[in-house]
Amino acid sequence: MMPWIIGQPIGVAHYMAVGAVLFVAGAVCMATKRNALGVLMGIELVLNGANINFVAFGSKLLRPDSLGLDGQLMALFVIVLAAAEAAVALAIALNFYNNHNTVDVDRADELKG
Amino acid sequence: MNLPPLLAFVDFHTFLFTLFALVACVFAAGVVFTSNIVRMAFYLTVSLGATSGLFFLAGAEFVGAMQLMIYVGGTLVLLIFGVMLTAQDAFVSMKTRPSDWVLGVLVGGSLLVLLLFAAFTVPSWRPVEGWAEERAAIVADETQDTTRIGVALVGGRVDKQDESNAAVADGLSGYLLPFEIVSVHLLVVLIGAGYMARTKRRRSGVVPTTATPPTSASKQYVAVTTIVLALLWLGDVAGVVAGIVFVVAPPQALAEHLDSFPDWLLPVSIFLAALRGLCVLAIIFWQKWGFFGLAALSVAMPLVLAFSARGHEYLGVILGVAAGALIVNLIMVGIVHFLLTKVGRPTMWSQLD
Repeated sequence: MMPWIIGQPIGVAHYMAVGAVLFVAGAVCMATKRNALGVLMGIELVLNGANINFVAFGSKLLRPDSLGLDGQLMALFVIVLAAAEAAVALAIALNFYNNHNTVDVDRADELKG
Repeated sequence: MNLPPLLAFVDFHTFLFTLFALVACVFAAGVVFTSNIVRMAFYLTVSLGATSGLFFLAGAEFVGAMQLMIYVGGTLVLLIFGVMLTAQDAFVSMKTRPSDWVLGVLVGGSLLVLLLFAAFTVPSWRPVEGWAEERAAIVADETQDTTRIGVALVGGRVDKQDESNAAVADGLSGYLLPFEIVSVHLLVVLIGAGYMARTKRRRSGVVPTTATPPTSASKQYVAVTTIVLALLWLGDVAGVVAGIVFVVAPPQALAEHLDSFPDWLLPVSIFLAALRGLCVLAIIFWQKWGFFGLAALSVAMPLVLAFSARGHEYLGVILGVAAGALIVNLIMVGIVHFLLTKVGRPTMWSQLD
């Protein structure tokens, strides 16, 4: 059992599997949470799952023909944009909370026809 | 390095990958399945921290460091502030409807199956046979990616200078333009977020609620309990580190006796110690199961040691050590139990959930 788990070589596919799990966790989180901040956390998870794939494809240590530096640079841009997105989304959530005294996204339906 | 038989079969890249991947995935699932927003924030922190470990492992140390500094240190602090500003009783734990759960898990599960299937069917993404040896040469040779990233951000591609195709080489102008756009974007976001989140007059009729904190156990008892638990945890960590050092570089006099222990002893001990650390953390984060786990593991660890010593030539000595460890563990568990249930009014036990 132990040699089987920690004796196998790791490839891009394994990193992608972790990325897929994080992505799906984030997507389900976005879909099911009623708290606006929970939805935000789901977005962070989705972006991180994508980032794992970028880094894995850019890694020289996993396979001979890697994406090179581009993968890491894209990951950096994603991190920065995620920070910016979180700041704006949080400002919107706090604004919503100030105006409606709730963070339940199901009650954010003022524009509903 | 001459490793003892226990560590000879361990590929440390694989071992650490498994560790970080498990932590990241388990805590990501925790984010989904808990309905308490404060716990979600904590689980997310751990998950993203483990992700940065994966980045370090893939040789992207700059991205890993940025993940820790910007994500875990910045974005999550922002999120946690948001949680604290809105965490009124009604919003801390918002239950999702069961029908939503069924639908979400069904669609999410299908997506996961699809993604995993895709990830493992492309041949060039699979692990490369015999790559470990070449990897070692790469690790020694070219890991100064931080410099290359810095130069790429100001417009030069040091890593692609030997591009022979002229048409492609012209396109490799680095990332100066995206970098500038991101800079301006951040400025806009800074101003916009500050503008939107500034205090405005509240809607009439809404009385700002003065939050009354729930009755809590006396602060000093909580502090004492936390210190005891922290000591227990530090003891475990020290034990694990000592065990690893002991196995990697055993003292000359003891080296031959060490081989007669079974190979699984160290991984199992580390696993149990890690579990116990998790239980201690669980108690600190107000989970009742943490205490039961702590008690069970405290009994289990000496038993495992005693069990592994079957047929060892110093059986008596090892059994004595195991019995001593058992007694010390039981005393520690007793102290924790006493602190949790007997002192303070109301007791801390009544506030665990």
